[in-house]
Amino acid sequence: MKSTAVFKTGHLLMLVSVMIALALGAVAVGAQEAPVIIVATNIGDVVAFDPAQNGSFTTNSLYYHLYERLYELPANPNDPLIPNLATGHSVSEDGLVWTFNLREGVTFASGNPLTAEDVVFSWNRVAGFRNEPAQVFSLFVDGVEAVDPLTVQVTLKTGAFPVPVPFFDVLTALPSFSIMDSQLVIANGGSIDRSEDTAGEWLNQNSAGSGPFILTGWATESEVTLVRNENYWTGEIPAIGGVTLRQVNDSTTALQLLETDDVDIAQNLDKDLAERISANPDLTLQAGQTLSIVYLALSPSDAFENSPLVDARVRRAIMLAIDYDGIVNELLGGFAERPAGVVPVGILGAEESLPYRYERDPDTARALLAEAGYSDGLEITLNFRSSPLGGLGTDILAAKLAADLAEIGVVAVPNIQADSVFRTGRNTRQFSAFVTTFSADFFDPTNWTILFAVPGFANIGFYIGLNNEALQDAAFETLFAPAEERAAAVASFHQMLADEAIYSVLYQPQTIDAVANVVQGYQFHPIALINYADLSR
Amino acid sequence: MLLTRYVARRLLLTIPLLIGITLVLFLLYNLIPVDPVAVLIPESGFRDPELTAQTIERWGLDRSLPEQYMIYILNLLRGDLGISFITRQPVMDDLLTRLPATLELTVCAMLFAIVVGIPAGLIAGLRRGGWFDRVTWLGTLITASIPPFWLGLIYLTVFWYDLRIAVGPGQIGSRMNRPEVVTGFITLDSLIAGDLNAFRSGLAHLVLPTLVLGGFTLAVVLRLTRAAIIEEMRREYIRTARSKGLRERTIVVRHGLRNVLLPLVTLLGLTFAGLIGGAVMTETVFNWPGLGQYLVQASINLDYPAIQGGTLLVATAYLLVNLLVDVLYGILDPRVRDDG
Repeated sequence: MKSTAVFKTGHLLMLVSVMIALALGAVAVGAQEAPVIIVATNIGDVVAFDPAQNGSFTTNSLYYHLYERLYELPANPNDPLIPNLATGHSVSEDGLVWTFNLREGVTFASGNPLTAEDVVFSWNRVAGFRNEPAQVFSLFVDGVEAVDPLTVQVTLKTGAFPVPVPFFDVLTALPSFSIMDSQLVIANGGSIDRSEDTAGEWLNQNSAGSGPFILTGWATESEVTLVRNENYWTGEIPAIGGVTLRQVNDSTTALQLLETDDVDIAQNLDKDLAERISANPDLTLQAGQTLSIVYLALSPSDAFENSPLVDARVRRAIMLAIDYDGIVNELLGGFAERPAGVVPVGILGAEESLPYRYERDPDTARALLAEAGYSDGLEITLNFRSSPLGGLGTDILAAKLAADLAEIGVVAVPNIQADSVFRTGRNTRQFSAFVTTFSADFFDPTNWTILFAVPGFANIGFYIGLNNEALQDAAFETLFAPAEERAAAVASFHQMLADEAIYSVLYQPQTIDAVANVVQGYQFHPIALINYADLSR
Repeated sequence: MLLTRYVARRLLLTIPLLIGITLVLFLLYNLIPVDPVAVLIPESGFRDPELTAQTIERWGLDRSLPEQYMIYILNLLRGDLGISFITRQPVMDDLLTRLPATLELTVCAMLFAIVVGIPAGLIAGLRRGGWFDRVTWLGTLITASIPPFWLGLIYLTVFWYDLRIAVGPGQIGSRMNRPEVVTGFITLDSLIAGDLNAFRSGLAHLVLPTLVLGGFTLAVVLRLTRAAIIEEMRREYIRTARSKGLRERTIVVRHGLRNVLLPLVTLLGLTFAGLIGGAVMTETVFNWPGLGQYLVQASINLDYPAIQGGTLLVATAYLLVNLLVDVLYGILDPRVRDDG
């Protein structure tokens, strides 16, 4: 018995040591081989990985993983903001001074602690560079200073809005408000003075943030590599080892790469591949709701000679002639929303506005045209840019609109131009009618209401020579109204917009991603696009 | 005429050509209805007068046309091709970053065309009318007449997607780490980094695009070699050589082939420059991050500085290769020097 027991103990010891060895081995292997997620996507819009230099679709989505901000935008933009680097803030009575309390114990991936100086440096650098990312900052902010290591004070200005922006906390969640590790950036040549800054090249291959991932490389139009931040201050280090974005220009090729297991996710695919993705048992189709809109603008301005569009009845007739459901269901395969007006679905007030949405009604349209004296029909030129509009080929959309309008006797001659030619024509007010897309800078309804209605402040109203005071007042009401009445203010703005028949939103596109079933935890985010930190494989 | 004088004369002749090219490019730029200010300034900044004025000054948009042309030429001489509207980087840097990928593919395509094309052309020509001649005739007819983007799609679908015997688009396997950039050539860089897996992957990814891009050149080289050797073998000196009792092999290689090489040099020179242009289609289909893709994007977006720079680069490559061919000709055949 005894000898057996000893023998057994020996066995047990051996077994335990083997198990420990195995476990250690597994840990070592696990640490080494945390899977890297490969994403087939288009990174052609990346110009630089410096938040002060470039705010393209792709870079903005990646800043979200590399850097962090005082507040973060939730996946559903209607949900409350998520405090991140800030724990809270207070606002002075006149609304001009915002004081943010920073979270204690936050460290960058480099190990440097995050302080108020980093916030001041990052924001001033973006503003001082005067590039695209500086736009929102310079519209609303007068200055930013560090009160103490954990307190930042921001002074706002009026001008863009008649009052200091009442939702500045929402703006701090934008990618251009990302917080950089000032010590690390300065050590690599960074400065808030554009003429002295030489950090651009370093920032194109590295990041200086506190987010769950670190940038480790960017090869132009080829690949972007991220690895997880092993020092992530929250302690919630991502399960995946990293993410590699691969440039694939063509949707079908991207899907083929996914089918052959060369990649794990194929991002932003053409809508016509939806059926093929759904039919594949190894893949999951993920539709993500964007906040961009594709809209038709008809100028009420009399600056265009003999423009029939000066008559609101003609504009209204055109908008009633469009087969919106056909565009969404037939052309976009159902992967789009139809908001009531310029404020997209998912934003405050969009739902309350739905009663004022245009629905197709050719009979009323014809009657309106006859009333306006155009019973024999009329001709307009519809201007388009050539690149796809929300994933739909411009030529297809142009043909559809022309066919719909032909039914009420309106000849819509499509004029499809290279993007830069289109931009030139529109910015110099040569178009009385155009179709294009709009993506917001920030996710408050005023980004749409004021931008589309007030010509003095922003462009879209300016492009079509809009000068409608009642509409401007309605737009500003969406800013001034007390919080609980803002949704109603957005709805009444949309009601007035529908009566004036100046803009008609054709659709709000969704993106389609195909994801291999081995990848777990996918969730779409309107800016970050994919929540890489929560993925596993 | 001395060889150096001959070369100098040829070099001088390229200068007016280059000036002509720049003039055409510059004038075309001014015909396109694009307001550079509208392209350069972000949407919401368009009505910011300060930013607009700054941009106009920075890009010299307020000067007269001849002044703008002079600025353009002076910048060119300093190697400054302007700044791309889209990438916001100096066009020169953009082109240099993408050139190695294109060169790597082009060199492979060229080697493929030479190594396969010349021997096959010789065999086809020497055994004129035989089965090999007929097969190559059909093969070259097909590859020379199918556009490369179509052929590329077919190759990818069949060999990669269906049969899985070739690798897919791109320069290197999707799950593979790119070697650190030293030369920009992925095969060389992976060797320098000592990463044999990356090297193998890089080589494998070159196969299909090389077949597509080199296919057309191969067809031309093969047909030319065949025609030339048939022509040469009829000549008197070959008959003399035969009557002297030389071995057929010696006759073909030492006498016939030598004279075939002369027209081939011209052809190869021209096709090499042509390959850089032809890479546009191939790169698009194979997701190859080279000049071709850059120029396609530039054309779609009417990114004029990039189009201008890229066109100038391809045109200069043509001129240089032509120059090189002329010089080589002068060396190979001294009579050419005297004629000039």
